Amino acid sequence: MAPLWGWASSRLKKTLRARRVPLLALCAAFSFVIMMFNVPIPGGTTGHAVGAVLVAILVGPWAAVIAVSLALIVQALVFGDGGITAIGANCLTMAVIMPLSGWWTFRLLAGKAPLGSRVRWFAAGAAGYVGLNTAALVTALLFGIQPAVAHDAAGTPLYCPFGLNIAVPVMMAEHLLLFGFVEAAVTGFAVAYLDRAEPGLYAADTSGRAPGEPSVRRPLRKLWWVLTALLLLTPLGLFVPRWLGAGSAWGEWGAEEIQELLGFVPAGMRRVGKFWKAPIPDYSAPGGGEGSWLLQASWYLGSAAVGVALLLGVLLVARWILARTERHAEPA
Amino acid sequence: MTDREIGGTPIFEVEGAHYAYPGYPECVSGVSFRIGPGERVALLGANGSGKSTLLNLLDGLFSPCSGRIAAFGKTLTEEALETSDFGPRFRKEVALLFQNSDAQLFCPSVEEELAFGPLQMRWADDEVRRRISDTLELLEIAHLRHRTTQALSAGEKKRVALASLLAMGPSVLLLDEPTAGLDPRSQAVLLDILDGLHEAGLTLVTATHDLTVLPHLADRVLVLGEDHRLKGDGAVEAVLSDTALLLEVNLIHAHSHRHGALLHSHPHQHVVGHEHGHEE
Amino acid sequence: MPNLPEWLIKPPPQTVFDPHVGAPRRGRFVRRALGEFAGLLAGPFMQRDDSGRSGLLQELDPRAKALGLLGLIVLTTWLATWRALALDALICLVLVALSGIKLRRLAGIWLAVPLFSALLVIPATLNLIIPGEVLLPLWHTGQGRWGPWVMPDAVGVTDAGLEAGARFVTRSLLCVTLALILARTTRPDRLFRGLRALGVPKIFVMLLTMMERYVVVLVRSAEEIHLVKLSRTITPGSLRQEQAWVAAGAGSLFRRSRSLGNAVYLAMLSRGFTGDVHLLEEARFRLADAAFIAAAGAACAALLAVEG
Repeated sequence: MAPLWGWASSRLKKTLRARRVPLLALCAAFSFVIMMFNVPIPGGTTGHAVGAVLVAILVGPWAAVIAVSLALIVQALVFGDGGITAIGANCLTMAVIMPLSGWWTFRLLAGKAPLGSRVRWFAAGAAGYVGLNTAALVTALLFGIQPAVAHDAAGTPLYCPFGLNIAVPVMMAEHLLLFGFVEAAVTGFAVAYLDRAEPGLYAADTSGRAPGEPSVRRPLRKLWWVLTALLLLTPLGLFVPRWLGAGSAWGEWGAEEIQELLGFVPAGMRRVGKFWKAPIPDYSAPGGGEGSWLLQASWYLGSAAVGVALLLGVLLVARWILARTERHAEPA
Repeated sequence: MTDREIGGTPIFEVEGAHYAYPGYPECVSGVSFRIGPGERVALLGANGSGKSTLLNLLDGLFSPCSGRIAAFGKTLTEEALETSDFGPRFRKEVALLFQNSDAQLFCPSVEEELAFGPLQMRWADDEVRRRISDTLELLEIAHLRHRTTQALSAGEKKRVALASLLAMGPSVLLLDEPTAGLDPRSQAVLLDILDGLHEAGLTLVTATHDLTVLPHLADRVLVLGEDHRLKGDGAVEAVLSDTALLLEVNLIHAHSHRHGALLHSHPHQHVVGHEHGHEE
Repeated sequence: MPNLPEWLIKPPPQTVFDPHVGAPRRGRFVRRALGEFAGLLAGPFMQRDDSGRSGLLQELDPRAKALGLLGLIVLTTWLATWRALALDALICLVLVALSGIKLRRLAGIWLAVPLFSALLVIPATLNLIIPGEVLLPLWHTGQGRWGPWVMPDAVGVTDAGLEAGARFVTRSLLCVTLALILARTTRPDRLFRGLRALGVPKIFVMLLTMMERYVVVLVRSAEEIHLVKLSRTITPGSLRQEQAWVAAGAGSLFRRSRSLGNAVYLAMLSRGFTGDVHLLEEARFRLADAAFIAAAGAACAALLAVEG
């Protein structure tokens, strides 16, 4: 994650730094509040959208990263729902991967389309969909690795019990089929509304520069270091050796926090109505057997790295395409 | 348009100031005036006449698109305010009370709110604490010291906002609609405080469209029209009795209303018990 | 007098709307029941107590509480042996007693969290997920292949599965309790200041406190926006329309957030803000604070020792 943070800190413009403080705080408050909005979903119930992609489109991806992270931190600390050790992982998925992937999707699709055109709000919707599902995928990956990495001598998983073969399909199915569309709807409609209601919005936004332009370094640097530290904190939990073998620091609360915020209907509603539809796995034990701690840790690292690398790869290609097709950077 | 004799160096000199928010039409169109030390001046105008913007310009928050604004003899520009001696000195000497108290109270507790300004001035901690205590005493809000800013009533918020400015020890107070939204008692308290500050020598510049509090807030009035120009500059009594001017700038109105069985229309303002005579 | 349109003066000849149009009849009861259940589970989390009640923990410096309690939470997520979890539970109870939080309030959490966690892991208790000795057979499928999958003789709850599930639920409960103790005995802005003890930079603290301060303002704005819509709604629209409305509400809220943010910036600028953050220094640590940190440290050490 460190390279992404380095990128982020170089994007923020130094002279706008003072102005940024209250705008970021308000942006974070805004992210926090829209996470609480009840969005009607098919079936007559309501769900929640994360809104990270919307924030990214409105104020730029790097500001969105900070804003959503702050919102998640406040949720964990002030609401005491125990998601504290999951903060790093949640930030990774919802505050980093989601806004960044959504933003680049939006730029790719909307390009130079004029304000108020249908292209823009379709692009916004698509960006919301892509962003949420990308985040869901990474979450599922991080989840699904748990049983392989953290289990006791008998092979019983110590933390998250669901392996990749369950975590990925289940999470992805729900997000691809339902919650992705909810997120898309909220993002798309909101952008459509703002394009008509306040066209001047994008002219003076906080990001200051479009991605791709160099800018002065060092503003809010400490902020980025702290977020980096948080991110490292939780995967590090996997690497610190316990007496009995590799341990994980987040599994369970990662589940509830992430699922709740990634669009599951509030507390338990879905649980009650839903029967588990996981594909029936092979009878044999999931994942690799016991191995040395080093092996397990490197297995985790390898999988996570593959996942993140794939993601980065896609995003880099998108940026490259963008850079090739644009002569000048738009004012966002 | 009269320009009064100013004794001593003017605090503010405004010459042909124009300002427009990016993407919007002009809201200050060629305004010129001077304000001297110790004066009590009101910027009077209907909503939208540009008085709030003018206050923001006086506080150096925006730079005029054309024209010049100077404070304490020095032209206010972004560079001037960024210099290491004039900038902080200006910020200390001139304080702006915003209309929206929620925007002004951005710290979580009252104590921290009062501390913000002094801390920005880089004063020592015990100096900061002394100022906090003294200002709380002055405005009689010591009991609010540890409260969160969102838990205050409108009147309390205004007093805390004012306290947060006074803690810096300014010599000029700019006030944007200070009595708007306040209940009568809070209004009275505020007016008393402002009176006391004026006695102590502070220069007060108040933006308002409320004619009823005008005599309590100012000795001199600058009238802004809806075309964003200066339409009048004179003593309070003179301006208040200039009905034609007030009608022109949309500060009073004429609409049909009743007095007993009589239905008629004439310029007036809605005050408690407006007095005038008419033929039955 | 301006000329008022006729439809404003006289009511229309018959009622134009039917309140039952648009609301699906089937499943309304179920939906309502589910909604109430969800509210029950989510409710305890939405309470924001001001830390006004009396209790030992309220008196402590937030830095001490942040260090001690966060440390315990992190450690709790590691624990895997029942001995250690039991000790942890004991420590929790002690802290609850010291915090003065009414048990009644916690009861809601202690119901919701295990329920929620249990629902989450029930499938894991089956031998489909975790292999082990079947304790409670649920149904017999007969051995054989179903497509690519190999089926066991009987599908049921396993001992290993139960144990894994129970551990999960217990750990969740303990984490949540500890986190709630921290959250409910500390005012949010003080809690964020307390994070300074963990090395969080000042600008971060300023952003967090400012953000928290304005969340309430925005929530009120959002409610207002919602009420405006509600007051103009007679029958609910289609799903698309409703979703569009929520999104427009979000957009509207963004405009207010932005204008408020700009206004706050001007207010800060006016008071001399140049980008550097200065916080009022807290009073020194007192004996009680140091004692709390020491106690928390000792508790962590004990847990580690018991864990083995």
